[in-house]
Amino acid sequence: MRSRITRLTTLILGSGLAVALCGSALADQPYRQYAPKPEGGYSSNPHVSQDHTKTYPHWKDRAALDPERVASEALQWTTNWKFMDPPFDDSLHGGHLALDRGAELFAELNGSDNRFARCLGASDGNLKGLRANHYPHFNTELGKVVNLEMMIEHCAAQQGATLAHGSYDNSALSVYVASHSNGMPIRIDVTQGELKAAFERGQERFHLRTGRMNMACGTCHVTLVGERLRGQALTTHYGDVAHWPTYRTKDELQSLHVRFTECNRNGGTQPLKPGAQPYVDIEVFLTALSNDYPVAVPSARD
Amino acid sequence: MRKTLLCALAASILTAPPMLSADPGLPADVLVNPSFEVKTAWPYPKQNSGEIEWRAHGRDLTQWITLSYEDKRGIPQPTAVTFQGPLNGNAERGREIATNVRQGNCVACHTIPGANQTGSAGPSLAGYGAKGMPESYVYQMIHDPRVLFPETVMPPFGALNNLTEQEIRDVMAFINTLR
Ligand code: HEC
Ligand code: HEC
Repeated sequence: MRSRITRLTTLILGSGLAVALCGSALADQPYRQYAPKPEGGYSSNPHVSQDHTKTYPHWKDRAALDPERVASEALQWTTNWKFMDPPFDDSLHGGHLALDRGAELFAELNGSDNRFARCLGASDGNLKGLRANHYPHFNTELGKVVNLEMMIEHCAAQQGATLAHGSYDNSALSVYVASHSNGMPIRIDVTQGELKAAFERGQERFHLRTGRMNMACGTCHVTLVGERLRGQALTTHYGDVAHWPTYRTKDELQSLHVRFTECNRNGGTQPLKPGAQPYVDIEVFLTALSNDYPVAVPSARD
Repeated sequence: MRKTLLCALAASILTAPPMLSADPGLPADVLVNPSFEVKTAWPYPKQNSGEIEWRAHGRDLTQWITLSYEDKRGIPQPTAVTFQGPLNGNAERGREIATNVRQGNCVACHTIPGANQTGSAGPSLAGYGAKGMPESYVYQMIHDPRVLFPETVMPPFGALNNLTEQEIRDVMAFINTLR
């Protein structure tokens, strides 16, 4: 808890002013609020090391996580909660089962002519680097920015199969495709074109306050980072996308957009469908904030 | 093995649940199931399936603005309110509201004696009743704290139609008992 409460009396006296300032919003625009961005804002060419909590040195190298920090109730959040990934959990967890399932589904859909791999963007059938460097991207054929799970759904549908974005099998395939990028640094270019536009929209959405609690993603992951909400410590949103889809130990293989629906609900906001434009834009934003952080699947977290 | 997988995939098209469609008044990309009593839905990934099981959320959230670009709604501006006594609150009901996730959920951010899994985002409310804070101040804080703290993370419970007038009074009666 910060010491804002000490300014209580000044604020009570100044409250008339606050109302006057807030009341000056443009009359024809609906009134909305934004959670403040991290100090200094965001770079137009983000990199994972720019993390606003300055905790990056503690989670830069997954193999070198400090066990004491991981075990510390007060400092655990500074390890960016990657402690559930190896080396802290190399047991046979649900993520591994998903990887196997994904491999089977892939072989089935890919046939002997690499049709599924080609549809996903691997012209030579080689999945290497697809997850790390190719997604999300602007798909000219579909005329929109797509993520990996949307393309898995799309390419499966071309063969008459249902692999809904957010379903177990879709995520299992996504884990399988991502496993071919394991250890490769994520890199997408948001400095130009459609991805730049999506990055900027995603940044705006991430800080827009919504829902019954008037909360933005940024309220929890920026303003309240390091604090506890109902017992759970809040972490930075830098380096967040490298290990998705992930196996949640409450027994659910979860895609990134399904995590967004969960975070929305936790903050009292009506969630959107997986693949909805604002979620795709937020994914572009978060992926750029993971630039140069290596892909790591299969992963597990609480 | 291969054969069965493909059959399962093909069969799943036939058994696919009806597409979720939004209420006419709601953006098309929100996750609601009109046939649920609580319309707000969430996607549960059933193991080894290409389909999603839509589950109902604990509370209908459709009345508040979403992240959808089609959503043109706004929120009420910060509103100053005047407290009218007497309090007439029920402290027992107040405790229930303050500790329930779907209602006040004050414990998400505040330490409240007797409740577990509390949060650290706001000041502890332990002993709050003994502090003698004016009722008008506590009422304003729960109704709309933005008037006093423009950038606050605490939700405007009254202004956003989260808690009713009576529920706010119940919660006030409850935190008054924290001594
Ligand atoms: C009410 C607070 C709250 C809000 C609002 C919120 N989150 Fe979260 N989020 C959490 C908590 C708690 C966790 C679990 C702890 C952690 O990883 O920080 C989490 C975890 C996450 C994770 C997983 C991190 C990981 O690596 O496993 C992502 C991604 C995420 N949030 C994105 C978002 C996005 C995008 C939004 C806005 C749509 C959002 N969050 C809004 C509380 C919130
Ligand atoms: C999302 C977090 C959050 C939630 C949920 C929340 N609060 Fe708060 N509350 C705060 C913060 C933070 C402050 C301190 C004001 C500030 O700095 O913004 C505060 C301040 C207060 C104060 C004034 C404390 C003082 O020392 O004068 C009261 C009273 C209060 N809250 C009651 C409640 C009640 C009752 C509820 C539930 C109906 C609630 N809060 C829910 C975050 C929260």
